[in-house]
Formats: sequence, structure tokens, C-alpha cells
Amino acid sequence: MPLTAESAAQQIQDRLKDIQQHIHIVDEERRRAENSISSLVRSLHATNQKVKPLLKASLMEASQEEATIRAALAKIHEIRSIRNERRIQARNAGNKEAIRRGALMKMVQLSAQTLPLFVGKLGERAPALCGAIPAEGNYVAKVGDNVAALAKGIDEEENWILAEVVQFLHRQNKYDVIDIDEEQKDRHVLSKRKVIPLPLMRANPETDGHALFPKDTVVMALYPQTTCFYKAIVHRLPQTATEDYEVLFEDSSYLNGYAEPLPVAQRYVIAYRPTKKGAGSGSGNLSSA
Amino acid sequence: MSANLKNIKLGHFGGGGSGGAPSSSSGGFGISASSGGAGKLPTNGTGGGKSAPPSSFAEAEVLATPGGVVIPIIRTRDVAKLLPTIATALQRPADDHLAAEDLDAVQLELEQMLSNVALRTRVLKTEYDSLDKDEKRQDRRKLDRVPGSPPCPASMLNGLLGIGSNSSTSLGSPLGGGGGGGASSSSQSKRKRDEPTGVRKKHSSMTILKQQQGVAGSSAKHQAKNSPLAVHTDDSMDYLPNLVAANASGSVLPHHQPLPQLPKVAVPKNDTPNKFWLSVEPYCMPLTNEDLRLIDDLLEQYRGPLVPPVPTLGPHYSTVWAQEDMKALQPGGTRLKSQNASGMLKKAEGMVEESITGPLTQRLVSALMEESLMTLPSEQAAVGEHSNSTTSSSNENTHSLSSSSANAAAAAASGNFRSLAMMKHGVGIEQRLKKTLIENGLIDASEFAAQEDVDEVLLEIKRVTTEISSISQFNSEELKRLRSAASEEIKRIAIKRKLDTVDQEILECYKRMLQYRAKRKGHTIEEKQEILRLTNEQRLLADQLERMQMHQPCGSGGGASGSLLEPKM
Repeated sequence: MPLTAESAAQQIQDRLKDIQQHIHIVDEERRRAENSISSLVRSLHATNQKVKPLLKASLMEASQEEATIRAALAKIHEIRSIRNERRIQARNAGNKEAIRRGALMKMVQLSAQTLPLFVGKLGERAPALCGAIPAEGNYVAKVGDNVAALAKGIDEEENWILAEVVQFLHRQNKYDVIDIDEEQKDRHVLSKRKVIPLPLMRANPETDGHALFPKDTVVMALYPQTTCFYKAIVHRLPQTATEDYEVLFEDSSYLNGYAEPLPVAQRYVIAYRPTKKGAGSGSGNLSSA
Repeated sequence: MSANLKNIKLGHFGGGGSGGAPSSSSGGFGISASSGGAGKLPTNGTGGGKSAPPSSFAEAEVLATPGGVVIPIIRTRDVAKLLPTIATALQRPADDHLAAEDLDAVQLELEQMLSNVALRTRVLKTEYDSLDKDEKRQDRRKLDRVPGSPPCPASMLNGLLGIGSNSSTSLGSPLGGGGGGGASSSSQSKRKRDEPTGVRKKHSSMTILKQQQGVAGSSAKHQAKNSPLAVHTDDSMDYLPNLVAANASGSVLPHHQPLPQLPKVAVPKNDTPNKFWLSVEPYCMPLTNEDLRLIDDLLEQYRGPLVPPVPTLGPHYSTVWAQEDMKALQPGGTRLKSQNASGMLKKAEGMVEESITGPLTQRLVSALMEESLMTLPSEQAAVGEHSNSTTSSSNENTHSLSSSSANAAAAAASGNFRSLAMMKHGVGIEQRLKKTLIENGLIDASEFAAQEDVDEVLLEIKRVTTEISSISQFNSEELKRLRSAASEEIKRIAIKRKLDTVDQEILECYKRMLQYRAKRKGHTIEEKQEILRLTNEQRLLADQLERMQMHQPCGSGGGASGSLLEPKM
């Protein structure tokens, strides 16, 4: 069912309203929780006997608040997916707008920042494609997902580029991907092995530290201000949900073989996949465009 | 990060009781720290030892438990600072829609809140769990103090620790509480200091108890492992009546009396008795159906015939090979021809027999004759020479025999079989020779007797089979006896278990009665009836048990001690 611009806008408006409501509810709940927790703390200090029921009440309130927040976030994701669908439809309809480089880079950054954050419930482990958790073997990237694709450039050189899935050809087991840098106007058909899906969620360092790449792991990371992935080593993990990794890219022009740490968003740090030619080592000067 | 940790440790060392002191020190830290956040680690065995500090929710007044655990929550006054977009959204009424351009910021802030809530949930849950554990431990300690109930192993140890610790210095967190996760160094060191003493106390108390109670204590412990209900029935009492008297009075009191002295006794960790009782344990455990099945399986072995029946002796391998050789020699042997082959062999054998009968005569002839002289012309002369040179033992009969047999041999050598067949002297040569030799005392009769059907293998088999069968008979008898004893024992154990449950119920009734008395309430009629019923049941079961026991000890004692003999080969 193709989304018309009006219906899309209407849906988005509806959801925005819902989100507003949720925000208010969340705030109320937060205040309530704050009160109960302060009374809990008071009773703890006073070694009251009523600690347990107060604890239980606080737990209940916390879970309620969590549910509301999750609902609000779900609405936001719906809005985003609606927008995404509209964009894909527009592109398929032949509406190719030329995006300037600066704008493209900003988009890339923004999409990384607003990638949904995974906050695990108690005892829940991070799912596949969250942070460093790899995809399952039979996972097929959906239309519109961002991937890292090993594509051949003009000079027969293979590079891992940031691309978007157009469709998956089941019979051939190949992906039809398009470089997000539309100036290239490159559409590649690549086998499944040459396509790595990017994570769909960020990992929260506070609750799911295990879903992050450990320090000194060899990874592939998107070089800042480019749309290509290069081999790098994790130097520093993000400490909060909004922080980036700091990675050291391979650079033969440096003494130890690695450049200074550069920040890369969680979304653009993926597991290293060696190719025949050694994964196209990154250097300080790149020509990605 | 490390600096944070250090400060917290100092804070906890200095603070102790109130949460104000540590929180203020780390709170001050928190204010100065910006995005790094103040590292606040949960303490006192509460889990969730998150090494990454919660994000910057630091404020002057931190909501924390007395133990120093910070409960992550965004205070209202911080909302404007930490969640600006949401704050502005809150300015607008609830039925308005969110500004589309705020979407991203709102998302990030909502995620922040979500993370905060998740952390809060975890912290609260761990606090709750630790409180739960404390309560359970206290309950168990209270239960163990009830007199007349020998404690279960886990609760026994806890009870001992509880009792032991109550009288001694208070343990910060007894062994049961060791399950807590990451902790700051202060509580860790405290626990480390306490654990070795706790462990030592456990061992020392166990050793001393075991020395006192001997079999009774350990079997009670083992019993409890198998049948959690039958805590009180002490199997050991059955077989060691001497200990009953000693333990009946001392079953309860020694638990408590020497215990207060335990902490003073610094017994070096002696593991040997534990190892010993562990090794003995499999033999003292009550029987189960598994064991019955095991015995049944063993019996199975003895059901069928020991040795498969020995087939009758087939044709000797020489005849079989001879036949096969004949078949092989004949070109393209068909059935008729193979039949012919066996017929031919028989004929050949017959001929061989006809010509020279028996081994004895053969030997005689060969002794009398030289092979090289077996030629036609010189035959007679040679025969004559040989016949003249026979020993004194040969008499006329043999002389004539030898001559005739020499003739026969000569005839055979010339290949004239027909004349042999008609030779009258040759008939029964073997027999006559045998008779003569035996008469002369040259050969014993016994030598011949054993030659017929000498099948040494069969004899050996028979001998061994008789040996084995006698032993297996004995074994199967023993196994059957063991099995009947085991099934009896299992019945006994079932009755004991019922008895135990009845005992428990009676105890509960008793407790209720005590409560009633304490409250000055009268007992109802139903209660009295129930008590009567329970006591009757108890008496019945006890009688039943005794009756079984009276039949048991002699039989089962012998059965249990009877061993299966190994056949000596």
C-alpha cells in the first residue's frame, strides 16, 4: 500500500500527539517514583520494617515507567519508519535529489545517533544486530537497511562501502545494494557474503556492556567524513549510550602503523571480515568519492 | 575511574552506618565530574556490580540506601538540565503534538530515561533480593532452634553457624550470603575475614559433632539426602541397638551444649572424617527400587543354561580334508562325482584296512621287514631272514602271522588287492595279535580302552561345566535371598517414611496445642480427634515396623553379609 504524502503526514502527526501524551505520563510517573524512592530511602535509614513493601512498590512504579517510555520510543520508531518508507518510495519513483556532501555526512551521523538504543530488561541479553552482536547466519537484510558492501570500484579495487539494500534476490542469494553516496549512482549486485548488515540498535554501555566490542578488537569502521569502511582497532569504548567508539585506523604513514584515535559511532563499527586483498587497509588520505 | 573507586572505598571505610557520609564525598565528586559520571558501586553483597558508572545523574543530594547504594533516578529539579527537550515539551499541554524537529532530541532523552529506569530496576531488585535472603536466613535459624528436630544438612550447617555465631562475634555475612555479586573492598575484606573463620567453624563443628554422634549423625545426614521427609527416622538405630540408648537422651542436647564452646576450639581443618563418611555413604544409604532392579539384572544372568549345549562330534578333520582333496582333484566335480569321491575314499580305506589290519600289525610288519627289501624276487629270502631273526617273544602264531602278513604286505606291494580279500589268515589279524600281545603281557588292556572316542576337549568342557554349575547354583541362591531381603527392606523403608510423616503431623498438632494453651484457648473436638487418629496411626505403623524388624535382622544380616563366590578357574 503505497504511502501518499498526506497519509504519511497524518500518521506522523498522530504519533507525535501520542508521544506528547506519553511524555507527560512519563513525567508523572517519574515524579511518583521519585517520591516513593525518597520515602524508601528514608525508611531504610530509619531501619523501618516497611522496607520490603516500599521496595516492591518502587519496583512496580519503575516497571510502569519503563513501559511508558518504551511505548513512547516505539512511536518514535514508527515515525521514522514511515519517513523512511516515504523516502524509498520517492526514490523508486525516480525522484533523485542530489545531496551535497556535507548534508550527506550529516545524515550519516544523524542516523547513527538516532539509531534506537537497546536497553535490556532484567536478565535479557542483547539480541542479534545490537551493537557488536553479529547477525544470525540466515539473516536477510531488509529493504532500506544500511549495510557494508564489498564493492568493486572503478579501478577494480574492492572496498567496503556504506550502502543501502534495495532488494534481496532470493534465487541468486544476492543483494541489490546502492551506494548511499548517490553521486556514484552505483548499483551493485553482490553475493550475501560480501554484504554485512549494520547493527539495527545501539548497545547501552550501562546495562549491556557485553554487546560492545572490547578494547583492542580488530574491527571495520567507517572513516569519518567518508562512506568507506577500513580496518581499525578499538581504542576506547563508549561510556554512555550517546558516546562514540574511539578507534585507531591502520595507517602506514605512522610509526606504529596506526593513526591517532578517531571517533566512530556505534553503528559504523562492525566485526572485521578479512578479504583476499587484506580488507583494503585504510590510510590517512582517502578517496572515497 | 580508578580514582573514583578509591574515593568510594575510603568513603565506605570511614562512613559505615549512615549513607550521608559516603554519599556526600562521592556526591561532591559527582558534581565535579561531568560526562564521566561519579562511580558509585553497590556494596554489601547487593548484586549488579556494574563497573561502568551510571551516567551523569549526580546531584548534591543523592538518594542512596544506608549501605551506600545509589538508586538512579532523575530528580525533578534536574529535568531541565538533563532533558531539556522533554522539559520544553512538558511546557506544552498533553493534547498538543510534539514538535517534529524535536523528535531526535526527544528520542535521545527518552532513551536516557529508559536506561535510568532499567538501572533503577536492577538496583531495587538486588536490594530486594538481598533483603529476602536475609529474611530467609533468619527464618531458617529460628526453625533450627526448635527442640527435638535434628537439623537437615544445609540447615544444620546454617543452624550451627547461626548458633555458633550468635554466641561469638557476629558474622557480617555468613556463608549463605556469599552469593552477593561485586562489592566494594571494605565489605569484601570483611567477608574474606569472616569466611575463613566461618568455614573453619563449619568444619570444626562438623568434626566435633561427628565425633560425638558417630554413625547416628552421619546417617541422619545421608538419610536426609535421599528422603527429605524422613529427617527424623534414624536407620542406624536398627542395627546398632547399643547406640540407641546412648543417643536417645543425647540426641538434642549435645547439639546445643557443646556448641557454645566451639568458637574457642580452634581445631585445625581436619578433613579425614569427612572423607571417610563420604566413602562409607554409598553403603549406608536406604535401598531404592534401583537397587532391586540391579539385583534382578544380576539374577538374569543365571537364568539360562550356563554353557551352550555341546554339539556332537563331527567327522574328524582328516576325513573331511580327504574328501575335500578328492573333490579338488577331480576335474569340475559334480555331485555324482563328489559322491563318488566319498565312495572312493571309503573304498580306499577299506582296502587299506583289508591289506593290513590295524596299527599293531602294521607296526609288527614294519618291525619285521625292511622297506628297501620289499621287492619281488628277494622278498621271500628277506622274509625268511626276518622271520628267522624274530625275537623270542614271537611264537609260532606270530611267526605264522608275520609270514602271512609279510606275504600280505608283499601282495599289497605288488598291488594285487584281490588276493588279499580272499586271504583267510588276514581276517581278524588285528584282533588275534592284540589278544596274543595282551596275553603275553606286552601291552596293557587299558591302553586300548581309552582310545575309542577320545575327545579330550569334550571331557574338559564337562569337567569345567560341573564346576561352574555348582558355583552358579550357589550364587543364584544368594542373589535370590538378597533380593527378597531387599524387597523387605524397601517395604520397611516405606513404612518408616509413613511413620515420619505421621510424626511430623503430630508435632504440628503439638505445636498448635501449645499455641492454644498460650492463648488460653480450648482445643476443639476435631483437634482432639485428629490427635487421637494420628497417634493411633503412629502406633500401628510402629508396631508394623517392629514386627518386620523382628523377622528381619537374622535373615537380612546374613543376606547382606553373604558374598558371591568367584569361580576359581
